[in-house]
Amino acid sequence: MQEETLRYSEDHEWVNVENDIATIGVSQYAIDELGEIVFVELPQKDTEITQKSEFGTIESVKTVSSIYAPVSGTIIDTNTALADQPNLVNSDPYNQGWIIKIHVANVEELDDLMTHEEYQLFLKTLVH
Amino acid sequence: MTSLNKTALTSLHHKLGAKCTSFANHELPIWFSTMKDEHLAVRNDAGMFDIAHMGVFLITGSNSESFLQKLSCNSLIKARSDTMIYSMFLNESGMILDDVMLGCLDNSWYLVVNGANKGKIRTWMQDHIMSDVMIRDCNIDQTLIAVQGPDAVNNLSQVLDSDLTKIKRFGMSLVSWQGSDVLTTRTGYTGEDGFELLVANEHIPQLWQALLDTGITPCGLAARDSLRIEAGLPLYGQELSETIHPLMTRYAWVVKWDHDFIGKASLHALKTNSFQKAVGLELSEKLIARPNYVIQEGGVITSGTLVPQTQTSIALAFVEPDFSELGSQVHVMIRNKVVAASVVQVPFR
Repeated sequence: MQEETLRYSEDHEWVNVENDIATIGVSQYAIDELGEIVFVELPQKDTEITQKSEFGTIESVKTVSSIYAPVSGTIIDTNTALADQPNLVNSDPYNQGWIIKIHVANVEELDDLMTHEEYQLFLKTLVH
Repeated sequence: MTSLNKTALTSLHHKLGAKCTSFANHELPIWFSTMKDEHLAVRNDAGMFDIAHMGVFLITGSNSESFLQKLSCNSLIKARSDTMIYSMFLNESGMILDDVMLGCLDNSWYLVVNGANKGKIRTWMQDHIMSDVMIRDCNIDQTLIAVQGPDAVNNLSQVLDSDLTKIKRFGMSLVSWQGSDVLTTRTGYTGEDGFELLVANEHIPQLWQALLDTGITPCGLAARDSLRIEAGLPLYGQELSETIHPLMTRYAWVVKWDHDFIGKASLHALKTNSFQKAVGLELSEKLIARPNYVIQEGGVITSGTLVPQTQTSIALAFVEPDFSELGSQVHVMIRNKVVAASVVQVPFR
């Protein structure tokens, strides 16, 4: 997946949408902040999630963080490879490190997300 | 928010691409590469840490030993002759104000305190000051770094052009480097052989660069934490605090009852009470037990990490006395899960 074509939330999730199916992961910025990922807690398939609600947790050597739904929908798949290889999120956050796929409930919510360019500007506003 | 103190090395860290964080009001590297690589560098070769946040005081004057002896629950006798010792300062209730390293070289006492406690300890010393005791804040113009690992002694001897094998474990020595005195102590916080160096600010960037050039791995706070947890060493604010007394810790030996010290009477009275004990745990799942996670049988996690070499989840914790024996089984509440854990030997390796 190309970083440039993705949409991003302020909580540093990325979204790629094809035919109402959204693949969701966490951005390189989030990975750089977290360090080595040691555990990703995945939700159950068929769970409904609503925009901005927590659907999982990601644990790094440094901290535990919640992962929030960038858009609402029904979970149709989870990346079970992360159970044995959570570090796929570090090594390949936009491809092999994807976290869930959902059937998008309301495509208009995608408008709330930032483009890659907007996200890069947003990152510059964050205080370290 | 108060502004962060940069150390004499901050700009060098940025050049190396370090990820920095705020710790004890200082901007310090959390890692340069990854926690795992830095942890392994210290275990297998040599790594070095900017620990400019640690408070260092130089205490001189005819009453300096009596003064420090009153504050220290460990006896200073062994610290008189060029040797650093581990001790704790207690409050009047016998609870831990700070854990410290101190030692005497050429009639000058060096006292190293935790960065987060520096202001508190400075005030505590001022409140208990004696005549003819002078306290100098070394952090004003000196930087503390640590060089740790099996290769530290050789690498450092080469860079300082001085045979550091002569310094015994916990020994102290002034080593001359580029015309400047470097206080060199064979101490550390990693469970490995190594040294801590107190260096003039104007010389530290040059020394740090020379150490980098010999191949010593620069390391951040994340590896410093995983290394000290694996070695079973306490961190103030987690294993130690003003609600914990030394007899609850794995360091009850620091209390020497043959001299007078602040908190002695209260601590003596606490001896007969039942209290939770500090233990090491190995968890049955690869989840990190973090500070304040609750133990079902009673007690709490104080620190935890995944050991980089084995991916084993280990933790330091307080448990009820009935669960403190090696092999005891307890259960740690990790978010919405109950994870079994065994009481194991500390250090964890």
